[in-house]
Amino acid sequence: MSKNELLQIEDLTIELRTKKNRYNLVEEVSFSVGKKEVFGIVGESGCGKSVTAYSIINLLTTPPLYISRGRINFEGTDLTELSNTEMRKIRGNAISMIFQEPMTALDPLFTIGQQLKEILRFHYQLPEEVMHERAVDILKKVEIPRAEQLMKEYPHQLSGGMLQRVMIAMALLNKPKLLIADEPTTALDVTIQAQILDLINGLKERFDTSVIMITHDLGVISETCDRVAVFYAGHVVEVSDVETIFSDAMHPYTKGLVRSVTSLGEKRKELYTIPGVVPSIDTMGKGCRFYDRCSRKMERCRDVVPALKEYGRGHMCRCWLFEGSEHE
Amino acid sequence: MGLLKELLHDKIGRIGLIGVFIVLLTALFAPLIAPHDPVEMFPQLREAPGKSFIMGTDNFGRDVFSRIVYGARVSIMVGLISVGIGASLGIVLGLAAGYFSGWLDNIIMRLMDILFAFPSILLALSIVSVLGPDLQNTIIAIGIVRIPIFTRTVRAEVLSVKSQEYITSARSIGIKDSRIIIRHIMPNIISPFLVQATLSLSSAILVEASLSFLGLGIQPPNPSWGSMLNESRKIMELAPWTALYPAIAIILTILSFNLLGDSLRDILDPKLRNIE
Amino acid sequence: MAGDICADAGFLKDPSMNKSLLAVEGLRKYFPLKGGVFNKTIGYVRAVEEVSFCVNKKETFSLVGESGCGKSTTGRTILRLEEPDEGRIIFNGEDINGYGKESMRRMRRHMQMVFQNPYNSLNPRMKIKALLAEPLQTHTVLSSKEIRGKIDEMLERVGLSASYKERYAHQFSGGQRQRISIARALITNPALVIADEPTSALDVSIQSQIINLLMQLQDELELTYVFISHDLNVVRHISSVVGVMYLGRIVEQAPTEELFARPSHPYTQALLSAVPSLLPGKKKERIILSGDVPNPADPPKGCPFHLRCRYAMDRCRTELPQSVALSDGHWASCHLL
Repeated sequence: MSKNELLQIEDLTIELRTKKNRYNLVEEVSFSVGKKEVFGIVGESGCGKSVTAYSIINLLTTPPLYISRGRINFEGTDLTELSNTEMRKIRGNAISMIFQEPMTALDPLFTIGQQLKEILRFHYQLPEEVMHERAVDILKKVEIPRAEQLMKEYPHQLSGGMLQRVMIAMALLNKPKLLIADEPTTALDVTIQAQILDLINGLKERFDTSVIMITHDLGVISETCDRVAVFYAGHVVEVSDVETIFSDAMHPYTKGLVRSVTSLGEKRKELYTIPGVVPSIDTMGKGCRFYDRCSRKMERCRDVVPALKEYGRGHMCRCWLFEGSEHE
Repeated sequence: MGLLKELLHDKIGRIGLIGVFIVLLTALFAPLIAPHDPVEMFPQLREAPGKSFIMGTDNFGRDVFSRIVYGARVSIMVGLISVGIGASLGIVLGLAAGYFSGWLDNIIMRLMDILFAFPSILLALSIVSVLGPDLQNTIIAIGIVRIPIFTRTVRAEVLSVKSQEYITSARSIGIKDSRIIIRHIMPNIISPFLVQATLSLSSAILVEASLSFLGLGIQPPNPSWGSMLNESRKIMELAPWTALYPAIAIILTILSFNLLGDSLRDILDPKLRNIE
Repeated sequence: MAGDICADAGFLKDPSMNKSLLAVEGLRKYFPLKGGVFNKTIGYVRAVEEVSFCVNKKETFSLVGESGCGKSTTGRTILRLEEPDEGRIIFNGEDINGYGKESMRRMRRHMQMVFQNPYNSLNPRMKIKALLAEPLQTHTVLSSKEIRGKIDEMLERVGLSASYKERYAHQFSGGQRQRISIARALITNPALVIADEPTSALDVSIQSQIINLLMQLQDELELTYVFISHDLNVVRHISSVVGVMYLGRIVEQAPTEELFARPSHPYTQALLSAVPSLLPGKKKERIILSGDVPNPADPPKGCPFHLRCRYAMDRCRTELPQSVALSDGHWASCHLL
């Protein structure tokens, strides 16, 4: 792992085990997140992006989900090898996570102040006044007005946008190196989303924190991310910097996705669409998972899954159109 | 149907189903199963269980086994009819209260609250003492007591279904209220209703047994497990089998229905959620 | 208000001469808030407040806004799925707000709705063919054979195979269910379709399929749409006229390109600038609004937007702004204008 890399995921495979069958929800996922970087993970529902994110800090419900293969390297340690106790020291500390629905992520029975202090208390033993001060401080840093007063309020008294700020504050309390944000603005109105994205954008510089931004919204990706991994049906199909993803993507799915979104606005012209639907986990063939919907499919695509290969300057792609012509 | 298969798969459901089946068969084929006339008094008074009377005889020389068998008939009949009364009235009231809301809902629910305020046995007791203790009135009393729980269950389900978008969609198409209730709401409330009906049956049987035990339900010499228990009180030390067998019959029957109802609930509930 | 926007929305002798299919005047809908021991009415959620607009035939009028702005309630109130407290709803020349229960029920074949949630808007226990037959059985006297024919035709029209009619809703994906909902709404040949966030619950790659379908059907069947959405990109793509709602009121309204080129109300400006741009690297000039989306149960006095407006003056706190005509078909309610 190079000096500038913070997190490196290698060949991660997560299995769903039911009474009758085993399915690979995500397969051979590889990408790395650098320091002071916002890394986006984009994909549609069922693509495995949330499952991957949850697995980083071992939040998967096991059973029925298992990490069957792969490594998650964080600052020299393989997170998949850690015990639950060791992992707990990292969660909320070196790696934090924020979720889509702030209302359900906060305990309704405790005040904001109590919940913030609980996080501090778990990781460090500090006197009460110090904890209080740190809590108020972090609330101010996420631009919450009247921070002192907010400490005494309960989650149900706050709006969605405010709660999301509180959640971000909670995640930043212990100055994490990495913040995982799982669809943080999906449930918010667009003007509130703008506020939160603005805040997240500032984290790189102000807090020296890298962010993994998980979303289905390409607009959010465009506004906040430096590099992006595109997921489709459990596979990483492309990884690159954000400009390349939008202007010069390699994988047909990425291109299709970008086109369907950017063709909006050309007044009443027929929108570009990707025909068909995402395959369900039990009907996927043994080849490329995008085969049925791809406009450039070949024989080979149906039978064998292409490998995720690098094509220069950190641009990775999983597609038979390019394999055989890679220049590493 | 598929439901039956799933019930048999589930350990609890299997036991419940078998138990209920046995009771139902016993009730249905009572004349073929019972070796003697349940009210015939034999000279062997209080005889211990043996070859000719496998469960012994009671204080009047009647065959306990035959009385148990015919008692099943009483229990099932009272159970089915009274739950039938309670369920049908309950469904109508629940649908009306849930779908139309407003003042109708208020009146119906306040009435139900009044009925609910009384413990069911006490309520049944009062009704029977007013009407007079016999089979018919017992059924009516238990039936009335059953109405509030059905109304409440049905109403709650109707309210939750009503808020679903496919009901709004039906209204927006211009479908008449009556058709919405019959085609859209009712099929979606059948499952919880079934569960409630099964559990109610066990409760009804218990109430009947209690009433008869108190002497206010089925009158002797007609066999009823509750009245058998009542009669056995004085001679329990001399002839414990006269109390034992009716008690076991009551317990096993109620247990079977409850297990069946529980299993039904487990099977039907998550499936309902899965359909969405 | 309505008179300024659509001068010909009045009662012309021959309704077919009207350019507008739907004219809404002064629509108001409040929801009572109950509380206390006796469940008394302690306040009102002012969901829709004096909304007026008019929609021309075969065009698409979009209502945009954030949560709590009243756009969905407006849609439902127009169809009288919620009873309006006040206002006129003039459909094809007649005020349907005055219609009795039965007349309204019969009117519904001409004005249909497509709902947001594809997982909830189809009865899970009915086969598709029953769901599609129902509107026809309710409003027409067609024979079963004719109905079956129409069902097949409609399914093909929305891009699904006719054999799907034997299946149940849960056997389809979100996008396919939405197609079925559209088929159900269109099977009685309505003139007006109100689409309430029809693509918001769908994946991006499916959204474009459904939008294409809606546009195609509009051309084929000569439909008039009222399109309710919070997604400005989609709205920009398909609308003829856009109305921006805030706290139950339309604060600005204009033909689509005019609105996006010259947004005049401060809220519209902030809303447009908040939409993430799809050109990475080109950071937008962003107007970040302070504060939160307000609560319609407790609206501020004066202009509803003044608490978050960066241009707020004293006058804004006390006086409700009137609507000002800015150019042809473009007006906004703001004291600055």
